[in-house]
Formats: sequence, C-alpha cells, structure tokens
Amino acid sequence: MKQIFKISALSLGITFTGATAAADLCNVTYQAQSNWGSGAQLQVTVVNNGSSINNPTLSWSYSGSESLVSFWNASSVTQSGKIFTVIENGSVSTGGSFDFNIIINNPGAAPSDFLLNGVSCKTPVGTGSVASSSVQTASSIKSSVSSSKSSTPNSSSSAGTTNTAAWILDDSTSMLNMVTVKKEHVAEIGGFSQLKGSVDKNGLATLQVDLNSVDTLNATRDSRIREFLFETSLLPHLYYSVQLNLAEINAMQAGSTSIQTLNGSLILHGVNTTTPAQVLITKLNNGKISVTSLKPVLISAPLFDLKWGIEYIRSLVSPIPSSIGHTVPIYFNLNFAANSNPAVAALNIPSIPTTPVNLNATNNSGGMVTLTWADVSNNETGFIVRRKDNTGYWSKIQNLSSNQIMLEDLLSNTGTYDYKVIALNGSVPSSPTPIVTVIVDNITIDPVITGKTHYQAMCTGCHGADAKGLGGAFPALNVKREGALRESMINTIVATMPKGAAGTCDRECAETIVAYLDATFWQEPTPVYNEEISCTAPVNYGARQLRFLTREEYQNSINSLLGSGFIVDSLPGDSMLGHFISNTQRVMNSGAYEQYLLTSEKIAKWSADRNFSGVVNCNNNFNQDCANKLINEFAPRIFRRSLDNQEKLTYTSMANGSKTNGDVKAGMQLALEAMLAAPQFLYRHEVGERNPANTALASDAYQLTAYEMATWLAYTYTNTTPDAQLLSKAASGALVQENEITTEITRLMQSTAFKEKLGTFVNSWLATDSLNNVAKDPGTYPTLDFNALIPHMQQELAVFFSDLMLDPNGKFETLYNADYTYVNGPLAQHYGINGVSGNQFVRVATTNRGGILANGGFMSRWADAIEPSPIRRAVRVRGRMLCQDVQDPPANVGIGREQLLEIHKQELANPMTTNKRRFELVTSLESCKTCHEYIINPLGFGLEDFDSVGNPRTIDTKGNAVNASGTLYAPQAWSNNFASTAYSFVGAKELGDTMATLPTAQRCLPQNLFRYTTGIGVEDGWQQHGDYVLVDEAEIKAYACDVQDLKHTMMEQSPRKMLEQLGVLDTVRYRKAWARPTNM
Amino acid sequence: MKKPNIDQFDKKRRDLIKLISAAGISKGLLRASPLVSAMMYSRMAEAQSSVDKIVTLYIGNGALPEMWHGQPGNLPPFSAPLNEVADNILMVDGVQARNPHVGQNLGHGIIKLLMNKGWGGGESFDVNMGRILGAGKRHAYLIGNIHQNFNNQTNGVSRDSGNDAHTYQNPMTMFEAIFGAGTATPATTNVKKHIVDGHLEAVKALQSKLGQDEKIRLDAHLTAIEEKANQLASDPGTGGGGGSCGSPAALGAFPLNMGTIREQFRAFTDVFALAMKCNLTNSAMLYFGDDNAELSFSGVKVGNDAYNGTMHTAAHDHNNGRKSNSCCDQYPQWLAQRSEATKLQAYMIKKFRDEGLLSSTIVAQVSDAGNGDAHDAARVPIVIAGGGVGNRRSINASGANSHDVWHSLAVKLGANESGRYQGFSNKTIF
Repeated sequence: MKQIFKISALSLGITFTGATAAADLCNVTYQAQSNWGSGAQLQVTVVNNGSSINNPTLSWSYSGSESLVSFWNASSVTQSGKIFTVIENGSVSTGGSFDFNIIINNPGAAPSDFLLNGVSCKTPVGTGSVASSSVQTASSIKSSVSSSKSSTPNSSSSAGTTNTAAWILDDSTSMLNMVTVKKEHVAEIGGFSQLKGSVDKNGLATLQVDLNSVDTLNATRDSRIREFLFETSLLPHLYYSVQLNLAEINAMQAGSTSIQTLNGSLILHGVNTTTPAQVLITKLNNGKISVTSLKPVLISAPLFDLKWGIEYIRSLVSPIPSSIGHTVPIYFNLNFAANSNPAVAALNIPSIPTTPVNLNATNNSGGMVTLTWADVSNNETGFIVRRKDNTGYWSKIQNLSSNQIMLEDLLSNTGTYDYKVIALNGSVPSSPTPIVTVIVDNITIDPVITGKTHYQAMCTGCHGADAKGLGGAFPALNVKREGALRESMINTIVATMPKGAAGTCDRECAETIVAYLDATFWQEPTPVYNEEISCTAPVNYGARQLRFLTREEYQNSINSLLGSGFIVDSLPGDSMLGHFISNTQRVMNSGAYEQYLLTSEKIAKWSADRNFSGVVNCNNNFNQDCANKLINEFAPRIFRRSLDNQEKLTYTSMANGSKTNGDVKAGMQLALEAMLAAPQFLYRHEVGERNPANTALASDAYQLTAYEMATWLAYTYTNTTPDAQLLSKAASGALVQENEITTEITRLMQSTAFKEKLGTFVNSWLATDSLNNVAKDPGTYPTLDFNALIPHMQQELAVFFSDLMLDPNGKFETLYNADYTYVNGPLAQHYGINGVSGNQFVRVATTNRGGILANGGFMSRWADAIEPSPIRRAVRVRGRMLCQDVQDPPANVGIGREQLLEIHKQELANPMTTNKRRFELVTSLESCKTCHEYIINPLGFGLEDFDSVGNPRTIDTKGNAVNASGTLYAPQAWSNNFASTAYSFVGAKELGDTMATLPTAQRCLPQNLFRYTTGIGVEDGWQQHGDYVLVDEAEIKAYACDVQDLKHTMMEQSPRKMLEQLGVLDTVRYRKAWARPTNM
Repeated sequence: MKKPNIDQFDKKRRDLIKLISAAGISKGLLRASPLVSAMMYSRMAEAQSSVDKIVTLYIGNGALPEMWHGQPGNLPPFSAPLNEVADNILMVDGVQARNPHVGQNLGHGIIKLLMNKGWGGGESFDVNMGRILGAGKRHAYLIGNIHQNFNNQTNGVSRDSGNDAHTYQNPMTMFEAIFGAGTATPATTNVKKHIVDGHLEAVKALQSKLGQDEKIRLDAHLTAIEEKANQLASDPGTGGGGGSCGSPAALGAFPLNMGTIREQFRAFTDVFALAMKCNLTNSAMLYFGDDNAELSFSGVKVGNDAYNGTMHTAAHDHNNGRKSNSCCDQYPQWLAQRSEATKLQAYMIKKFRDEGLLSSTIVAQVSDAGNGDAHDAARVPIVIAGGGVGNRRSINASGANSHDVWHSLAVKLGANESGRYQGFSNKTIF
C-alpha cells in the first residue's frame, strides 16, 4: 500500500489544500511529500462524489512558474502554459478515487481549484453533470488506484445516479466472532476487527470482512490462519450481501425489534454460496439499528474448500491436536447508523467474473498433468486452480494472473485427482468450472525435470538461472564434472547446500539437480573461467539503511564531542558481519535500550560534574543563554546535522530547566543525556533524499544528503563523528558534489585515525585481532611469553598494511610477496632479526617472511598450541584471502574417527610422525575427502614451514624435517576441474608469490574492504542477516560491480587510489529501498 | 441457619477426589488405609507447588560420550565433577544433536538451530520460556555470554520475536542493568519520561521516511522505547532497583578476558540466582563460549605439563603423542579442559541449591554435539538439575533429538500449554 507522507505545509511553503465539502463534486488532496526549494514531489488524490466516470481528466492552473518534471501513476500528465492536465485510465465510481504523483520545479502556492472533466470540484453534487470522456474499455485496474475503484458495481445503478448508502456500519461498536474447537472439547473464540458495511437505499445490505484482521489471541495461530486457511494474500475479503426490507426497517418504532430470516450470498475463500442467517433487528433509535445473529451462522469448511487449510494448520501445532472442528459457528452484532449524506456511497462488491470454460486435463507421462481452459471473462484479476487428491481436500495448487489459460502440474504420487479453475475479481470468485478428473497410475520421476524444479527453488538465487554464477563469490555450475568430481558435487550439495539451510536437499534431491545441470549445461564445451562480470547498469544502488554506532565509534564520538576521559563500558555488545564488527543490521531491544540509557546517563552526569567543559562555554553561568547554546551550537554536532524545529523544541524544553524545576544545569544534563541515547545519535543515517535534478537516477532512488555524506566519510576514514570542516561543508551542501567529497577524502586519509582504521581492518580480516584466543604450549616454548607478543604481531600487520595501502606507488602484489616487514624490539627478538630494539616499529628487509601470508601473526593465529594447523590455515587462506568460503565440517562427518585413531594409534604416537602425516591420517575417512582431498589438505600442508608461533622452520617440534610442498587447487572457482587447475608451491613465500597473481585474491581485498566500510556486501546475498536474506539479484550485482570497479582501480592505479574511490562509489552515494523478505 | 462456607472446603475436597480417581485408588482402599490417604494429600500438596523457572547453560562441542554418560554419584571422568551434586541431577543419554524442523544435525556454525526452530524468525527456547513463565516480570529473560566469538554467526543466537535477543557480555553490566544504582526515585523517574518521549518522537519521524525493511527494525526500536515507557509509568522508583530485594551489593569488578572466564561464569550465575530470588525473571541463559568452543582455561595441566589449548583444539588433539598417566590415552587434553567447564556447571547447580531455588528452578545444560572430536551428533551431553526432575537418575532417551529436550522442559514448566509456546517438539523424554 502506498503511503502518504504528510509534511507540515507551513514548513514547506506550500499551501495545503484540504478536502472540500463532502457534497462537492470532488475532494482533492494535494500534498507535498518533499520540497527542496527548487522543486517538490506531490501526491494528488481525487475522490469522485459525482456519478461514475470513465477515464477522468483532472486539470488545474498555477499562478506561479511551476513546470512539470516527471509523473507516475497516471496515464498522462501534460502542461500547457500554467495549466496541468492529468488523464487516468479506467472508470471511477461514485465515492471512488484515484491518485497520482508529480514532480514540479519552482513550487509555489497550491492551486485554488481543480476541474474534473472540465467541471469545478467545488460544484455541489447534483447541480451539474460531469461530461464523460470517450469510453474506453479498461483492460485492467491499476494497482495504485484505491480499492473502491471497481468495474461494474454489484448493485447496478444507472449512469448518473449515486448508490447512496442508507445505513453505514459503525465498525467501532460492531463485532463478528467465531468459535473453533480443537481436541474435541477445547473451544476457542476469535474475531475479526476490520469490518465494513452498508445498506443502500434499495435495501441491499453488504458486509465486508478483512480476513487479515483475524484475532484469536495467538499471533502464531493468526498468522497461520491468514496464510494457510484463508490465503489472505490472494483472497483477503469475506463478503455477505443480502436484500433487506428497508421499508419495514424504516417503519420500525424506536426500541422495537424484528426477527428476519435472511438468505444472503456469502463469498469466502473463492466460493460464493447462499447462506442463511436468522437475525434480530433492533431499532435503537431513528438513527441506529442493530443486527444480531439469533442463531450462529455455520461455516462449513468443506463447502468453502477450507478443509485442507484446517488440517495443515493442525499438523503444525505441537503437540498435534486430535482434531480441529470443520464447522465454525459465526456470531455477530452489527450496528448501523443512518446516513444523511447523499454523497456517501454504499459499499460495492467487485463484480463476479465469468466462469472459465472448456477445462481439460491431459495426463502426460511421468505424472505431469497439463490443464487448459478458455478465459471468457474480461474483468478477472487472476485465476485459482484447485486440486483434490486422495485426502478428499481441495487445495490451491497455483494462483495465476489474468488472461492465463494453461497450467502444468507435476505429481509425485499415483492416484485420482480432481481439478477445477475459478476466475477471481479480487476476492470475488466466479463459479468453478466443472470438475475434471485424472487418474495417474504411473509416476516416473524424470530426474532432469525434478532436478530443474529443485534447482529453480533452491539454487538460482546464488548460481543464476543459467548456472553461470553471479560473479566471484557465487560460483558457476555450468562446467562439466565426471567421476569423482561429480560425486564430490553431490556430496557437497547434500552436506552444505543451500547455504543457510544445509540439509534441505538429500541425496536423491542432489542427484536430480546434478542430472539437470548435466542435461542442460554440461553438454557444451567447458567455458573458460572469467572473473569479470558484465556491469551495464548506469548506476549501482546501495541500500537505504540505518547503522548503529559500534562501541568503538560510540567511544570515539564521545571523545570527539566531550573530550577524552570517560570510558564507555556499558554499551550493548557489537554484532559481526562476516569478519568485521558491524551493527548495520542490529536491532534495538529493551535490554540494549536500557544500556544505552544507562550509558548516556553516566556520560551526561560526568560532563555536568565538569560544568560541561568542552561542550559549551558559559563561564559556569547556567542560564537560558547557556541552555540555548547547548541546543543551537552543540546539539547539531551530536546529531551530525542541524536540528529540525520539533527537535529544537523538544530538547530546548529539557535544557531550559522547565522539566527540572527550573534548574537549568540539571536541564542541560537531562538534554545531553537524552541526545546521547537518541536515534539521531545512535544511528548513522544512510537514508538519502530524492534528487530529481540528477536525471541519471531512477525514480525510486535516493541520494545521500550532504550531512549523511559527512557522517559516512567521518566514520569511514576517521572512525569518529564529523569534524568542523566536514560539518561546514555539509551545511553548505558541498558534500553532494564528487569533487568536494574527493577533497575531503584526501584530507581525512592523512589522519592517524585512518591508519589505525586500516590496522583494525587487516587484523579483523585475518582474525589476528583474536590472537589471544590461541594459547601456546609452555612446554614446547618454555621461554616465550606469547601473550606479551600478541600486540606487537598485530601492530606489525597494521603498520605493514597501512603503509602499503597509503603508498601512492604501492602495488597489490606487495600484499603477498613483500620482501620486508615491520618489527620492533620484542618482535625482532622473537623473529631472530638483529639490529632492532625499543618499541618503535621499523622496516626491515626479509627473505623468509613478508606480506600478510608469510606473517607471524597470521601463522600464529591459525595454529595449535604445539604444532601448526594445516587445516585452519588452508581454510583461512581460501576463505579470507581468496573469498572461497569453506563450510564447517558437517555433523557426523567424523563417524568412524575413533576406530581410525585406534587403527593408527601407534603411528600417531610415534614421534617420527610429522604433523602433516598426522593430519593426513585423521582426515582419511571417505566422508572427509570431499573437503580435505583437494580443497584443504594440499594447501595447508604447503604452509608447514611456519611454526605455531609465527617463525619459519625446517624442523618440527619432534625433530623431523619439515616438508612444505603444497598445491593450491581450484584457485579461481570450485567449478574448475581441480586436477587441471593447480599451482604447486613450497612454503608460504612461494604461495604468496602465486597469490599476488590470482584474480580471486585481487578481488577479495576490495570485496572485504567494501563490506567493512559499507556494512553490507556481495556475500550477503546468501548469508543470514538476522531474519532476512537478500534475494534481489540487482542489489547483489550492484555491490559486485562496485567491488569490480575498486579492483580495477587498485590494479591499474594503486591501492591508495582504491581507498580514495570508496567514498564516491555509486552504492555509497545512491540508495534504494531494496526489498527484504522476512525468513520465517 | 446460615450454611457454613462450604465452598472453600468443597473445592479442596473435589480436587482431592479428582486426584484419587486419577491415581486409580478405590474408595475402599482409601477408607482402609490412612497411609494411602496421607500420601494422596502429600501428592496434591506437591502438585500445588510450581516449577516455574529455568536456567539454560550451553557448553559447546559436546564431550567424549563414553567418558561422560553414567550414573550420578559414580560418573566417569568427563562428568565426574558433577558427582558432588549427584542428588540433584538427571543424566540424559541417547539424545542426538539435531534440529528436526530443518532436518539438520547440529555442530560448528549451526548453533542457531539448537536454540531456535529455524534459521530465522520466532523465539529461541530461552526467550520463549521467559516470555511465557515470566510474563509481567521486569526482565522477561536474561542472557549472558562468555567469550562468544560468533565465529560463523553474524548475529546473536537467542531470538525474540524474530530479532536478536539482548545478550550481556559483562556480568557487571547485567547486574547494574537489573539492580541499578539504587538511585531511582519518583522525581528522577518522572524526568526520564521526557527522554523516552523524545526518542519515541524521533523514531516515528524516521519511520515515516523509510521503506519496509528499516521500518521493521524501527518497529523493534519503538517497542523497546514503549516497554521502557510502560516500565517508568508503572514503577515510580523506590530508591532501589532490585524488585523485592531492594539494592543488593554490587558485584566486584574484574577484567573480562580469557584468564577470567571462571570468574565470569560464577558472576553470571550469581546474578541469575539473585534475579530469580528477587522475582525479577524466570528464565536465564548462559552461552559458555561459541559453537567452536574457543574457550581456554588457564592453569590446566595434563599430567605434570600445563595445557592451555582451547576446548576445541583439545578435542582434536589426540594426545599428540604425549604420554599421560590419567585415563583416556587419546584425549587427556580434552578431559583436562572440558572438566573445568563441568566444575563450573556443578557450581551453578550448587548455587541454586544453596539459595533454595532448585526445587522451583530447572537448570539444564545442553550442547551442540556428541563426540566433538568426531563432529558426531549422537549422545549429546545433557544434564537436567532441579525442578523435581534431577534426582540422582540417568536415562537413555535413544531416538530423541535436541528439541525433544526443549519440549520436555517446557512440559515440566507447564509452558507448553501457552498459546505462545513455539512448539519445539511433541515428544517428552523425561
């Protein structure tokens, strides 16, 4: 449903034209959704109070110099001089409405009048007729038009007359309840809260129930009732219409009653049937009547095709109830008020579509049934196809859009099946077609067809409908595999796919998927792997988002705003996004809010105790001027933008002492406390605003404002709140221009904070920030104080990485093949490097270490207490440096391990058994080979030349010679034939030389940097994010394309240039509200 | 003549008759045997007292099953520290670490499926129990974690209405959040309302600007603010934040690092016990490490040698060719590290027992693996203490899975009858 944004008219300088009198020809609501001075976006809604009209034309005239920029939700909008003319398609009945949006330049005063089909809206109804435009048959009703627009009203009224309501339902005092029974004896009451109804002047009573408003006091049950029982996404309404004797009702004396037996039409769940109801009508007074059920109206589930839904819901309940009743009594009390306004129309039910004809079912081989029918209606919004199987329940197998005439139904069991097709106009069904019956006695599972179904359901999102992958992180599957590799693929699917829901596809499922891939994609010659993806979109859009400050960002912001000295130690914990701390998707909850309040309270008290030193300078004179200073000068720094009027009012009323018994200082403390826990401070806003002046942007795109860019740049490059220069440039609007953004980036990259941020990045990326997770065996390293060494190892990486990244002449390859490193005294001593002492880090030339791979910190992190861990090292090289995620070992993969250990007990205990041999033995189970044979072990074994405390070695801890021969298989993508694409190497330095040349490694750094800085990334197309999964391919593609851009810049220019480019990426500056389906 | 007030006595009589009938005891036997009738009264009295609190403890990476499962009082090495609370525990064998709803065994990277029915949405077991048992309590649930590295999970494990449930990483902060500084008064509480009102206003303004996605997050933000507003409205502040306990003495502060994981565990345990004793919550959850068991106890020895590898490393260590004079030639390192965790588990049970809470509180320890070295899901180490369940027994729940454990606990707590119950399973195993 579209939303109408109501913005204070005064603040926008546009006169808000409210609804004219209800008895006028039309009510026009003309609202500005946003106004940026030189332009405005408007939403116009027109309610037609006159007779029904086709293809209405609305026109108006401006007094100023407004000009049309663009429009949507209208058939046409034209401008001639000062006159705007809008034409809508379709008909609009009495009481119906239509709306549209336009963007104009130079917005001024709102129009004083509107003309509908040439007649002023201010014309009282009945004093003039509306000239109809030429009649065109509307082929469909636009979804943007309000629901009251319909084709032919059910209660037909001749053209030009209004179907006025005689009585209108008072939904605030009416109720409709149902009683359900489970376990034979347990009765539960539920109800519906959204009711509409009327009685027209001819006595036709119509009731509409919004089935989404079901309430059984159990949210889970309500949700299931909506989804599985009523299927409200397709059939949201129940209708009941019945002819009343209006004359008799009107003649009733106030206080009298009348019992009537009604036989009305009940429309529910795609079935329209006559349903009796015995009611007591009470004339409360001349203006009010009450209609109450004397006997319950019995809803029979079989009659309304509801049995399947009931039984399905029953199967979901735990413990499963013995039964849920199939007959539901309905009780109601409906109160109506007399209507005296002739412009108020009676409720209309959409017209009944014509039943499809000639339904035919063909039983093809293998259990595929083909249904065909003829579409003879011209007002259907869609079709529903229902099937009854041996359970005896009718269930929907498919709902189709309008004009459809065929459906294929793939059955998996033999049996007798009945089919029927129903046309729908909204929730109003046609009669069903005559039932056709198919007897299926032979099901042959065609693995290719079944595999296709599975692939489309579970694999397309990541691997593409064409199996070509989505670039980089989502491998192509269109490469032929045979023999062991084919088996390996099946095993991988069973054990690990689909990502985030491993275990969903069993072996049979996996085999059919592979059969489908083979039949469809593997018959062609093997394509050459291409790391590059095609990026043709004019703009890559990021996501509109709010990002909670991390704890570090919060602390740094407090330091910047209030001065150092307060240690923030009671904030909620941070969340992780892949390898990085990121609160992009963190959700506030009560506990976290409590902690934010507690923290801000402490900070505000601390500041107040220091007389707000560093916040406002009032010479300890805490009066109104001082309070105003806090709000006018300091608050914008907290919120990182200027305050709007409401915010000024809110916080001024705190700061001025009016909430603290006149104590201004206490008031200022209160205001500070409030602001430091406010969403304006806690969230980094990346929301954006429309910018129609930028014609390159899509109509639904947003551009970050100057203030939002200031915030983004500040936290990305300095890890704290924007400084004065950034805020100043934001205030002037400069930071929406690329050259200004670039200038600021250049400035900010010179800061110490940025170097520190790069250090944080690399240590997070490689997980060396948690080096303290790994203990080293004092028996093996008796003189080593590893804990003391940890910060030095981390600093080595930080200095090396930031120095390389910031070097204008830096090269990507150096990241892996550097022949130098940085050490201080303690580290040099550990590494056995002479000539370095003290705590200062200096650059030293090396031959056996250098880069981020042949690095003490990385090698120590991924090692055990005594010996290295080839498995952990290999998994991290693939996952973190090549962006090839290796799944955790699935449960039960090691069954048989104990026997294995027993068999090899002697060899394992033999001191001459090397670490490599030990790992070969313990991963030799057949079930382990899927991952260990090619992906993990050969790579990890090549890194045995570094011990578990980060030093190169040729002898292991037991005195055996180290063999560091290794092989890197499939460095580009899993889809490659492992055996044919392999790099042999000996030791970490040689592997580093290879890594420097790999396109996957070259892409992996910018991919991680992107994710680190934006809080979202290419990987998030499959990864669980709280409770949703990104599924929009366009969004993932946008991120992948910007990452590719960064890679090109890094390789063609320098890593430094890549860092400069971050702040001007499309996905940073331009945003969309990408869809986020919930994952329930 | 007025009739005596028979209703009160009549109800008790009717209840007793129902109980007797359900027990299958004839009237004749009842008349003949004072012992039987006394027993029935006692049973009825017992049935009236409720088990309405739960503490859930997660210790990852399982244990060595053949060295864990056994009879309380005579437990094998991995679980031996629990012998000192043998009278209070039920050892559960035979459970498979598996989520039946997704159809997946648990293990590294899959801890979410232990606590939740699926990858997204809904409420985790601990939160669900808290929301049901502790409806109206100041803290619906309390969750602590010690050194959760979230290795493969980008967000939290416990979920509340589909979103991450709030988790404390610092027991001191949890204590402060629960019991406050004892400075809340009606005056300060009144002033706080203005803060909350301002935040409400701001979140609503944000909602009007944003699309559906961030709206969902902002709805959660709104809910958090509204809950605080309701709390302020209903609790004017009495100078103490501790419910029925006033303002208990604050915890002593200590640094949070790998070297203090024992202190952290005890601190969380103490806070849980105090919060339950003060009637502030009915559900507490403690994650001891993540799903890679990257916890390491300091000061641990294998034989005469110090060993400080993580529990995960220790599980895969296979003695590394070292000699050991203890049992388990293959896993002395794992035994050494895992036992430390078991000792802390015993501490938790003893704490609740000593505070008089164990009869009304179930303390349930679970894991995400059976044999952690083999990544095997069978025979998860599960111990249930208190709540009338733990009573020096052991059972073999062969064929059961992790969610059957949840359901069994829910039934004991009476939570399964609630409309809010998530329906983890329909099978009880104890």
